[in-house]
Amino acid sequence: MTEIYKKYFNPKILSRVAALELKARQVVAGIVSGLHKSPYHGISVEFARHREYVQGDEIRHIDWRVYARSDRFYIKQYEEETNMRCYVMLDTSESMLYKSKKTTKLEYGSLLAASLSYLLLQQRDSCGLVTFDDQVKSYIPPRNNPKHFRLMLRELELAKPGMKTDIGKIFHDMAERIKKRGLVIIISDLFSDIETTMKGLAHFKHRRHEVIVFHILDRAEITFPFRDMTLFKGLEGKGDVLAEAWSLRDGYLENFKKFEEALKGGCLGKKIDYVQMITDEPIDLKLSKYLTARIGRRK
Amino acid sequence: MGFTILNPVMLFFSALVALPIIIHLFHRRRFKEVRWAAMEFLLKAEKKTKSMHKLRHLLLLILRCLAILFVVLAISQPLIKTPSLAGLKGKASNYAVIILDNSFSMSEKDGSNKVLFDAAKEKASEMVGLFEQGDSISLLTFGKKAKTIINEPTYQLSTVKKEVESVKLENGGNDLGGALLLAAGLFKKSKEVSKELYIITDCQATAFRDAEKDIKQVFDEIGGKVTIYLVKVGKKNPGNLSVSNVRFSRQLVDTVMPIRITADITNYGKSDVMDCVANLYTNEKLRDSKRIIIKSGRTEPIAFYHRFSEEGINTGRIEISTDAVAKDNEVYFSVNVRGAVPVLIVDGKPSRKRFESESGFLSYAFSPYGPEDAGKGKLIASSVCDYAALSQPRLNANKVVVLSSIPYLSEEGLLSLGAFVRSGKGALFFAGDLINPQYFNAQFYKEKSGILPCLVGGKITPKKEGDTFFIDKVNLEHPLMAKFREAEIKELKKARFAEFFELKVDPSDPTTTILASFNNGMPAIVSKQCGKGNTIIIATGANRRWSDFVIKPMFLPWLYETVYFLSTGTEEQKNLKLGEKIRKVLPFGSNFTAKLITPDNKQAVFKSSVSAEGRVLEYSDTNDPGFYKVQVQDKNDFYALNLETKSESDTERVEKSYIMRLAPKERFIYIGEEEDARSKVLQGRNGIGIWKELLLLAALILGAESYLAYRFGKRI
Repeated sequence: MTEIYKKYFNPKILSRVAALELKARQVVAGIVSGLHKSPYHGISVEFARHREYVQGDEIRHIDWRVYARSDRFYIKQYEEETNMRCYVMLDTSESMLYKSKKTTKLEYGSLLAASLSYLLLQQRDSCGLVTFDDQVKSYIPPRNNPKHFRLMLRELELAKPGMKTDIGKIFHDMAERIKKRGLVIIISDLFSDIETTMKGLAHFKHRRHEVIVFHILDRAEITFPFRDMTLFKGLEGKGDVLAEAWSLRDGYLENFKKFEEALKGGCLGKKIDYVQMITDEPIDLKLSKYLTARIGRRK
Repeated sequence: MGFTILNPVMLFFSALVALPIIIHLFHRRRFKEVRWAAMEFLLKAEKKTKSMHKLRHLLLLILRCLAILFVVLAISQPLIKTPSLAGLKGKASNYAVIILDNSFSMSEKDGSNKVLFDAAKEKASEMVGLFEQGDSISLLTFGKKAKTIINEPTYQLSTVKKEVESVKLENGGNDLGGALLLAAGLFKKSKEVSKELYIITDCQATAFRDAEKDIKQVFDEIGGKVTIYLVKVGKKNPGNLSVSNVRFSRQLVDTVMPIRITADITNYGKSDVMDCVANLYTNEKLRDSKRIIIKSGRTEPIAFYHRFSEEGINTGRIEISTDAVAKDNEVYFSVNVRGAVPVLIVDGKPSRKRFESESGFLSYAFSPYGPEDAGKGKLIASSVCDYAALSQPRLNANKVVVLSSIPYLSEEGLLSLGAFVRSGKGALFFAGDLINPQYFNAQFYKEKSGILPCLVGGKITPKKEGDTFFIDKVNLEHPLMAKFREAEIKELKKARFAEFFELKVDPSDPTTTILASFNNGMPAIVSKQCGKGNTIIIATGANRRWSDFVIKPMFLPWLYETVYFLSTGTEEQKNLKLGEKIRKVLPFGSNFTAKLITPDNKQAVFKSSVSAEGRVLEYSDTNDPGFYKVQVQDKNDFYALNLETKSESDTERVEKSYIMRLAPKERFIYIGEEEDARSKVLQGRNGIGIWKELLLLAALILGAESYLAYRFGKRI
């Protein structure tokens, strides 16, 4: 267990992201008080800010003291906070085994999943883990127990890559299974039919979950650096292609770009955070950059 | 239109066309394997580009195969037979005339130290090798003169090859025109249908320009009927220096005074020569060296001063640094060196007082520092005798006799004087006070056999008192008068003559020459060749009463040069050009055998005849430059034979365009020095070679293939 711990509990990454926080941008339901906006009123009342009075506001919320000082009507706003239920969904299909250098997409994704889980648990949110290929392979429901992290790590380590992937179907299943709204983090290369994938993501949004997509890619998948005669053996049993790689490059890059643009555009349209992660990029840098940007957007 | 292949064996290499296909297949078998995740995109791309890619591949493969095919075709040397050439050769036998240039310019060495003539012979043998059984050949050469080596066409090709091998390089000029005329005559006689003319030459510009008229005439005559191949040997003008025209500053070469020996060095190259070294050798010893700068196309004289120490025949040569043509880097000379000239002054009225008699002026002129310095390193040693005391022994002790105002001579004296002059010595007459023209003429002038150059007439005096005569015209073509420069001639003309004897020259006598004339047109000085010797008469006496000539500054040089001229006599010409005759006259009654040794140390045989001079020995086969030694008893005589360098040393070549301008429009093939003569000849016989075009096509295809491969690959 210690070895697994060492593998996923990367102090360099965690020290870099520990100072940051992953807060839900929309209200989420939780059991304990936390960082995120609660859908409920009255349980925990905390002054948030003043807002200028507009017609229709309840008069009882007017801050008379401010009125006395400034001769203007300001409404006193209160916020309630709760903890967040977060689901980290890691794609373990065969396509995630591709690597052009030393790290497979699955290894990279697992490390990302572990880092995010640690971060969430540290900020006293509940975090769960889902691994899937063409079906849900394992499901650890969200908890905010520190022991829970070890359980998640063991599950990440034991995750065996499957054959095919059916992302759309899995997303629909999970959207139905998760009752309370929370944060859904998807870690996958998303090499599946783009339409069904987008429908699956839309389903999460429909269930009022906040969704972050970490799109894990290998550098070779973006640049297609092959030139010579090459036999491409398809992972997930998608067939083989024997060709002079240079002759396919243009077509491949065109298709890939279309896929990437459709994915980005779809996420943007559905207010889903899309983060492209390439396996040769340091996780800590990329993750801290994303989290910093996210905090900025929140303010 | 037909198609022939000269090297059909090469067509086996057409199997190489399969090479790109094999490489392609081999290439397809060599691939690396990649396990790939994003297969959807790849499959879509493959589906879209597969057919286009196959088409591109096929196109490149076809281009590669075509390039190989064209290269193989090119090396197999295909020929297209045009209708005009078709059937020309057929089964008819060939008659060819080979003209081989063996002129001296062919002795040039190329960059690899190979003599052009050897290269020309190799080409000729190669050409002979292209004939088949039944073909016949004649062989001509053109050195100094065109020669027929094989006149009657021979069917023995091996004989032709042997004859080609045995042709030797000549040291003469270039008679291309003569050789072409001979060839035209041979073609006229021949009844063969197919005729060929081969001219193997270095294309020396002077040879072609000199023979341009003959070339045009022959080409017009045989053009279109005879296939002419001009095979060029030798590359561009390599540049050449030649040394020629050796000459001496005076006629009399003696052991007393140094003599100036001059030769001309000509630079025939395109660039200046900054450090040409010239060496003077006499009797095979290096005497002097000089450096000289010679600009391109210029001729510069180089002069050496040398005093010969040995009397008799001396040999020498001037040698310059070696270059591509070595033969014209030396010029040889042979010179008869004499000691001081003994002169006998015979006076008609001698006197003890120095300037009272004519002999007084003359002896003072020969010994200006007094009688005590006579014979001490002097050029002339004079003595005086009375005309009555003249005898044969007294005469024979001298080389020149000066007869001043002689009224008469004894019979013995007269005979001795005639024999003296004819043996190669000289006599100078001053027509002085004591001369009785009638008696004088009767004694010394006999038509074409006497020793007096002309008849002496009466005294000529000026029409007005106080008027004088002066020398007005000088014959500068005569070797004696040619010695004087313009200033000296002017000085000579300053002498004033109070009176003189009329000299009546026989214009029909070829042995007589007027050297100078008075202002009234009458001869002043006349010379005559008598046997081996010469005589000269001056129309006045050698004292002040006749003229002031004896006290003029020019009297001394004129008298000295005249004595030198008379002392040399008329010797056999020892410095000759190649081809000129070596002539040696032996006196009657001598039973000596003469031996001739050529420059290559071989003994040669003289042609002997008899003439009025004596036994005449002649040798005309003088083909090699150098010294020809003539041994008579134990005495050696040397003749220097030199090249005629004027035209042959010039290594400038004519351009191809010049030759093509003269050439007939049809059936003329120019074969450059670096071209494959064999292929060109076969092309001339069989058709037009298209291998260059095929190679060009192959290169273009390869270019297109590279461009397309780059374009297709650029999409990466």
